[in-house]
Amino acid sequence: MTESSGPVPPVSEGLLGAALLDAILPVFVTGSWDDGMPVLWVNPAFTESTGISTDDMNRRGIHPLLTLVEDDPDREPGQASLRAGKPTERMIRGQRANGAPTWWHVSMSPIPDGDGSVRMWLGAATDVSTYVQRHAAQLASLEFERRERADLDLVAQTSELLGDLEYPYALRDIADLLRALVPWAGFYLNDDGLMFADGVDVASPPSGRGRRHTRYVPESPVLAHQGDQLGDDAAGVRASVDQVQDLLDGVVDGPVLLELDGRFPAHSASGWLRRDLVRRIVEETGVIPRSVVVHGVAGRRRVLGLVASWHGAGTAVDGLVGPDPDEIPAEPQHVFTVIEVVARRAGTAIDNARLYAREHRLAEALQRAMLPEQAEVPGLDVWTYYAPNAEHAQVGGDWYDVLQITEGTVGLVVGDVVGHDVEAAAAMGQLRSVVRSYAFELATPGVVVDRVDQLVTGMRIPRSASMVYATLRHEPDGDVWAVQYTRAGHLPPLLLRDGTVTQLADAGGSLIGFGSKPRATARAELRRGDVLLFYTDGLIERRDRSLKVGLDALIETSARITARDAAGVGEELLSRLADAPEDDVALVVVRVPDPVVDAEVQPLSPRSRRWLLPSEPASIGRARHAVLRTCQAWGLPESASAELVVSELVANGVLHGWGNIALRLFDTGDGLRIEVEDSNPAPPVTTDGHPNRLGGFGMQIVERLADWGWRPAGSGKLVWAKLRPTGA
Amino acid sequence: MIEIATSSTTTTLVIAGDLDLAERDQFPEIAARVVGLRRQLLVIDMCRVTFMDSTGAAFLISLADSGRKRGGATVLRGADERDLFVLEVCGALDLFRIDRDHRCESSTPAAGSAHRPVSHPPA
Repeated sequence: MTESSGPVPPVSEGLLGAALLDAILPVFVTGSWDDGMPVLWVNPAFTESTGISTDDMNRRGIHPLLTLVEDDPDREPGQASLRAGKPTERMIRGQRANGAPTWWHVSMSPIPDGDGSVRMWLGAATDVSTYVQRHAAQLASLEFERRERADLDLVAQTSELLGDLEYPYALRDIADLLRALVPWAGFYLNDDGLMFADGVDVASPPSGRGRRHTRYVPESPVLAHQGDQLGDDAAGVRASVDQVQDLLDGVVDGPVLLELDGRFPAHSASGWLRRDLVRRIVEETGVIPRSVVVHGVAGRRRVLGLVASWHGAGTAVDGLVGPDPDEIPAEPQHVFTVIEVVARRAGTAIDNARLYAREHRLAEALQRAMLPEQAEVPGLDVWTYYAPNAEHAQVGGDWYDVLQITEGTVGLVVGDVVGHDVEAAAAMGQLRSVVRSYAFELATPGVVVDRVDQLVTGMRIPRSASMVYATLRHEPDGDVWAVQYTRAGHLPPLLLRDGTVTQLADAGGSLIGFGSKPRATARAELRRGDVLLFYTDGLIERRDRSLKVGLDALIETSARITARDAAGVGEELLSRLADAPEDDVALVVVRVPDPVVDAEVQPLSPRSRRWLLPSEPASIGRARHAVLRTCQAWGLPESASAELVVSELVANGVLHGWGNIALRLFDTGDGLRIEVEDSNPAPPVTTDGHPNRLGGFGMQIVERLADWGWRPAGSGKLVWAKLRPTGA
Repeated sequence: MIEIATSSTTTTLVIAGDLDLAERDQFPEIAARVVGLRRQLLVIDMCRVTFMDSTGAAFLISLADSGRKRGGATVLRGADERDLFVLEVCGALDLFRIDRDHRCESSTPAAGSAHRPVSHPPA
């Protein structure tokens, strides 16, 4: 039914002309470049788009087309093509008849003349606004995504930095990150007045308190030029508004805009911050800032500090005006969000550090209050040891006390409260106070523990406890110590004499608080060379054996002890029985020195010793005492140097360390090795860096006498020193 | 234990026992009293000192330094080699006139210290 179409007839020139006339595409014909490209003809589509007819065009002088479009950077190369008579096309921006801005894609084709010169051009303009807008929107959304990713990345990096506030430049590094968003940013903390902060001192984090800001700000020529002196009179001072203080007080949520050319009272938050910011920003960027945006760094309960960010508006120091002399750039929303998030996270992290430091101080103070007491008893060699199980922090239920009751009478307690938690430690603290009180008041152990039973029942101490209480009375005739003891559900003390071990297993009774009948008191005697051993079950208790087997092992080990000093006895016991204790261990070794035998034989006992000392100044003297005795026992000549080194190391531990101080001594064969361990991971320093302050010479003394070093150990650090042999 | 004695020209400080961190609490008060006496010469008697470390040395140095600022002098007597070594490490020997000829009256060490070891600081 259909006829096949024949060959298409050629389009006539007239038809082409009509096509151009009716085309929906705006088309125009111009004269040559040299003639100023007069518009010779436009089609109706052109007139419709631009609202301009051929006649209108020609009233616009030479190059009339240029009056329709905005200037653009590609104009030069385009015109070069037109001059040379080559076709060209480009994108230009103009306006439609209705005033709407429009992107045109314009192509200009030369219409060759007979002689090859170009006298006329055919131009076609396509409206590509939609395309350009879509493209721009795509670019914008890409840019938006990129920025969001960058912002998220920045926040993530910030969180990482805040995870380690011990690092002294955490806040400086975060400010550096923020400087990818703004030309300058910096942290301030409020600790009894604002201060610029590179980091947070985790040992003493900022309080967030303080309404008078007086920290020294160095002189700056810019400030001097602005006539800003601390003694500024009140003229022109805006006393009533202190936005920064309002931010610190939590009155406003912020951020606030601080105008740096404003005048504020010298010690107000705004005034101080203004001085410090102007000085810093001028020094670092060379521009006098006009204003900064200030965000609060808020903790849980109060604002701890500020983040100040400068957005670039200001005057160069040499008087040149910055890009936007009068315009204060508003903080873009995404910058605002990022800084706000960073400030909030910093606030939380600093607050955590603050709370942790407070808890730590509290725990330390309580621990110190519960420290065991070891009196130095003339005529007795006493060594004590207490190791809370590593899994149970620094507190436990085991305890001991060595009390000098009167001249020549010593009270000795070893006890064990059930459990390892804070409640056990608290119960222990109460119990030991009760025992101490009665020990000083009453002489006979059975009577003392009877009274303890009564009081404990009345006090309702929530945990049961076992205990041995003994008194040692010196009887000058024959240098003998009379021992009286009573046991409340506790393992028997051991008496070591010439390789035989006696269990002091009499006078047994029930746990503390459960005594139904009067406590008994048993007796023993301690002669020269004898060793008395008090311990808690942590020394012998293992999951894989019964307590009886453990006790047998202890007795067998004790029988083989060769050391002739209390610390040596303790060392032999610990190294054989309790190198990996499953429970707290408390151990008291009392030895009566034997001047004759002790000097004679060099025992085969291992040449290492350890002490656990409470973090208090009195421990320094005890440590020296310990090292002297050990040097004697081992026949080491450098005791004087050793004493000095130990004194400095333990003093450092007491001053700067945390928790108990462990002192260990080793005879390496070519010199004494001293190790001092505490729970503060911060390394020791050779000088404190204050040339005008005394002190800080301790480690220099150590350095002169010994090779020394340190390494992390457990949660803290271990400082070691190996004495150089005398005369080397 | 630290005792202060004074004549018209001289303050004498007699120190016994250990001079270390454990004694530090009493240092400021003693320093204030010595300074308050305003004598030209301060004699520090170390005969019965059983031990001194850098904390103790810092105390002696602060005494000598405040004396020197007023044009006074500080004499150190009875200090043993180890005490002098500690002061030397602290860079403070030139603050003191060392009385090497002094012989301590009683060689009995202070109560509580077992014995006084011979010092062997390295040269």
